[in-house]
Amino acid sequence: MKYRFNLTYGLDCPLAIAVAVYLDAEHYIFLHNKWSDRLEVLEVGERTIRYRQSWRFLGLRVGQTYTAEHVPPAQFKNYDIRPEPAWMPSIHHLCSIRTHLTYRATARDTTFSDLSVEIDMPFWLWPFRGLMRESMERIKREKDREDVDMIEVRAKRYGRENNDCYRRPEQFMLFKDDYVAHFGPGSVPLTDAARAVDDGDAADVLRSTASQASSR
Amino acid sequence: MSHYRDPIPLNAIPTGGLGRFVVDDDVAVCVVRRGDTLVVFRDVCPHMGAPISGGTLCNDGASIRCPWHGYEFRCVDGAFAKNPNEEIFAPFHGKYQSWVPEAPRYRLQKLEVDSDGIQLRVRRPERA
Repeated sequence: MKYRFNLTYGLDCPLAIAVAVYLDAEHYIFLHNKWSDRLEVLEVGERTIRYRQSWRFLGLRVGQTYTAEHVPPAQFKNYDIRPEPAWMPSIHHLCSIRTHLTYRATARDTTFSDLSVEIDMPFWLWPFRGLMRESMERIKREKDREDVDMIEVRAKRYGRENNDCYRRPEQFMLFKDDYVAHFGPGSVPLTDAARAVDDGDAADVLRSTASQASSR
Repeated sequence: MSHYRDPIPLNAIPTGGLGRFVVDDDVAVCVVRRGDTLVVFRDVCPHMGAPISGGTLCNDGASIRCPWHGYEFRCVDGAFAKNPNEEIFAPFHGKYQSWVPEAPRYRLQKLEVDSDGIQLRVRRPERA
């Protein structure tokens, strides 16, 4: 049985910054080390990367392998998730989970984030779909909040639109040639899929930890 | 020689870790205590601007690891020591024309200090 849901909110940064942060893989296991502290690249394809991501749990190193795909300029897919080690009890033995994240620029120069999730599950897991959704949404929001905190600090120091540090020649970034082509000097115009959506769509903005604290 | 406005009480500096102190308007510093030695840096990672005081000490306290990207800097002088991501993303070598792998020339900004045994005063860096 297929269960689908979407998680949408706004990110208070230009599209070029949101995409840069997503493709800036060097921060994955440092800024987000609460979730995973080891990343291995297993295979690099034209549009896809196969990873092994792992963390410590009860003294064991456990994790998952998965394929990440980038559709330039601003779409990201994850699929073919398999638990590691294979004997480990995991929801991924029972369900096939695919995610498709689309970033679009808004008229206010913020980013609209739309995560579409599809879970193919056995019928007896159907009653638990709400719990699975809740858990996935919580992790996504928390990771994005960590990113938003970083984006806010950078914006204050270097300027909101400034993506120079990502484009430096020595700076590594996934699919960097595509990024530079779309978000560098003289970049190609964005496709309709990535261009402005109605501001109303992005009304729910994921706020940084600092701005949340200051509004209390 | 002039100092930033606010001194740092020596007894407020953590042992075996990194301390963050605001010494003037919009000026935060990261203080590292290594045995009897105190080293003070501007609290800004030269890579992407992270507050370096949020990082960790590594290599037996010889380096500071940035909390955002894991870049390591030597405690003794702030020089770039290591990017742990180089190994992780080695399979991408030669994949992108726009990426030229080379050791970055970043360095934490080390600040001189004066101490009277009770508090630490951080000197303003001299303008070049």
